[in-house]
Amino acid sequence: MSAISQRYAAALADVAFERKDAAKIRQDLSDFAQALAESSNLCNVLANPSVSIDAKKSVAAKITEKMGTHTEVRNFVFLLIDHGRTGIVHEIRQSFESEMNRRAGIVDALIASAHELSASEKSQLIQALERVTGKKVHAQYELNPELIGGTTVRIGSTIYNASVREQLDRLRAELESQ
Amino acid sequence: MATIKADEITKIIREQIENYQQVMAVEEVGSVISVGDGIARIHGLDKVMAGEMLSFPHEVVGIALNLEEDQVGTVLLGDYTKIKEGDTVQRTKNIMSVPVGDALIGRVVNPLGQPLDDKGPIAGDQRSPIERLAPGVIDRQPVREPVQTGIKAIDSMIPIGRGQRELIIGDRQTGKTAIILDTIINQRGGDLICIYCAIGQKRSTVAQVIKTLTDSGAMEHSIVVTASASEPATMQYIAPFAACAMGEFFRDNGKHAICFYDDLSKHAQAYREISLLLRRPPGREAYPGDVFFLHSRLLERAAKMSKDLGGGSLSALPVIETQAGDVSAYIPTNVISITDGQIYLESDLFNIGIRPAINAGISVSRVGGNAQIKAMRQVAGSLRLDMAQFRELAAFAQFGSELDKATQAQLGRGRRLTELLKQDQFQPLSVEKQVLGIFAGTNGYVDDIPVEDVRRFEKELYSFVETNYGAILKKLADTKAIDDGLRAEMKKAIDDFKKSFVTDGKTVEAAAS
Repeated sequence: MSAISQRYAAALADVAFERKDAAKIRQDLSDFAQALAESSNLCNVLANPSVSIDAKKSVAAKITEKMGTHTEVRNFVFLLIDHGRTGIVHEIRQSFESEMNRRAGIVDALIASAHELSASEKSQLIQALERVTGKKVHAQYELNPELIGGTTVRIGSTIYNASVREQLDRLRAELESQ
Repeated sequence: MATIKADEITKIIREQIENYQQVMAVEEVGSVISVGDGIARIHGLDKVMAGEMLSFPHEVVGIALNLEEDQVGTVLLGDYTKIKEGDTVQRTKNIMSVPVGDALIGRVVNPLGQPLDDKGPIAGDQRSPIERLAPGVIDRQPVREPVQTGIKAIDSMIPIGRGQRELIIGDRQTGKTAIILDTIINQRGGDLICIYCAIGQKRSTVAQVIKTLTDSGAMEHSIVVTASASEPATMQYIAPFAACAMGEFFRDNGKHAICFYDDLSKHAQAYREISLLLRRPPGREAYPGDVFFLHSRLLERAAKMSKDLGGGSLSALPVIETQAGDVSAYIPTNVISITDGQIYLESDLFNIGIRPAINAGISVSRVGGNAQIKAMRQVAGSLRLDMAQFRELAAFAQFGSELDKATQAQLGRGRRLTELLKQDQFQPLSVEKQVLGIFAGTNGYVDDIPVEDVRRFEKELYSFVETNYGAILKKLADTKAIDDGLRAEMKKAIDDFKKSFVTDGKTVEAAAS
C-alpha cells in the first residue's frame, strides 16, 4: 500500500473517531468504493481530465445523495476529486480498514493448517494468539497440505511457524551444517 | 586423521534427532516487490533495523539500507538472479558482521570473511560488526611509534606514525600499490599486522599481489580482503569496512595493525552505484551527499588507543587514483581533508626515473614527525631543507643562465640527494641504513661523487659499514639517536669507505688530486 493512501486513510480515521460514527463511515466508504469498482462509466468520468472538477463533483453529489452517504464521506470524495486521487479509492479503503483495526486494537491473522481445525482448537489458538499479541484477533483460515502437520500463523509481517514442514527443514539444515 | 566408523556417524545423527528441540519458529518476513541491479525492494519487515542482514531464498543475503514508510530498500550480496517478485524475505536480527581474530592472519578472504584460499575454514567464532563507532577523544593518544615503510623518501620526509591516516594519491601506473607492498614486506619479523583490502581491482592484479606477498614471506603477518571488479557493487562497498573491523580487533587487544584500502576511488564509485539504484539524490559528480561521511567514518576508526585501553593502534593508508593529476576532483579533495597527510605520486617523476615517484614538495605528514626515531629526525631536518632549496633553484636553473658557485653547489647537492632517495621496488631498507645514507648525503660526503655513481656509492657504503663497522648500525638501532661520539664514528666510517670507492677506475681522492 502506498504512502499516499495511508495518509488519506489516517486523516479519514481521525475524522471518523471524532464524529464517533466509525461504523457508518466505514460502511459508506466501502459502498462508494464498491460502486466505483462496479461502474466503469463512473470511473471514466472521474478520471477524465476534460471533465471539469465541478461537473465531477455534481455527479458525485448526486450519487452520494442517492446512496444516503454520510456527509464526511461525501466531503472526503469531493476532496479526492479536488486532488485528482479518485483512482486510488480502493487502496484508501484497504488502508482505512487496517487503520481502523489498528486503532481498535484488532489484528488480522492468517492461520494455515494441514488439516481442518476443530472449533475448540480454533478457539484455543485464538486465545493463545490474543495473549501473545495483546490484541483482538480476527482470524482467517486456510488449508495447506504441504505443511504435513501443525499450523502457521501470519500476523502482519510476523510468522509463527509450528508446522512439521518447518521442523523437518530445520533438522535438515542442522544435519547438513555438521 | 582417525577414520570414523559408519555406526558412529549413525549414532551421532540419532542423538541429534533425539535431542532435537521442538521449538516454534517466530519469523518476521516481508515479500519482494521488485528486484534488479543488485537491489531489492521489500514490503513488510516492519521492525527491521538499518544495516540488518536479511535472508533471501537460495541463500542470498541482503543488507537493509533504506527504511521507508511503506518499503525497505536492500542491497543483495551474491547471486541475485534467482530472486523473483513475491519471494519471502526473513529478518536475521543481526547487523552485518565479519569473523575477526588471529586465525585470519595469512588468509585471503572476501568481504564476508569467507576464505578464498584453499586453506580450509577460518578457525574461531569471534565476530565483529562491520560498522562501528570510532573511538572517542578520551580513548585516544597522540601517535608516537613509527610505521617503518622501509622507503627512504617516506621514512625521512613524510614519516607515518602508528594510528595515523596517510593518503597515497596519484595517477594510474605511478607506483601506489608498490609503496604498499614494500611497506608490507618491510614488516617481516615485526609486530605490525598488515591488512590489504583490494576494492574493485582486476582479479589478476590481486593474484599478483598475493603471489608477491607469499614469495617474499610477507603473508605470515598479513590479511588480504578482496572484492574484485567482477563482484557486485555491494561487496566492494562493504570491503573496506570489513577490513577495518578485522583491524580493530588487533587495535582493541593492544596490538598494532595497518589497513591499506586500495583504492577508495573505486569504493566511492561502488557506493555511488548503490545509492543511485536506491534512488538517493545525486550530488556533485553524481556522488550521493554522504560520500564524505562514508569515508570519514571509515578512516576515523584508525586510532592510537590510550594506555588504559591497551595502547594498541590501527593505522590507515587509503589509496586514491586521480585522473590526469586532478586532485581537485570531489573524492580526492574529500579524502585529502580527512587524512593526516598525503603522499603524492606523479607520473612525470616516474617517467624521468625518480622511483618511488614521490613529489616531496607537496607531500606532507601532519602528525608522523612525532613518531620518527630521534636519529632520523636529526638527519632528515637538513634533508628536507636541502631538497626545498634545490626545488626552488632548479626552476631558475632551467633558463641556463650563469650560476655562481654557491648555487651550483646547492644544485649539485640536490641532484645527488634526489639520486640517494631513489629506491628499487621490493628493496625496503632498515631504518639504521636509511639514517646512515641520508647522513652521508646531507653532510656533503656525496658532493664529489658523480651523480650517476651515487646509487652505487650508497649500496657499497651499506655493505662496507655492515662488514667493517657493524657496531655503528647496532648502536643506531639500540639508542635510536645520534650523539657526538656516534657522529664522529659515522664520519670516520664514511671517510674510510671513500678511500676505497672507485669511480672511473680511480678512487675519489685520486681523482680530486
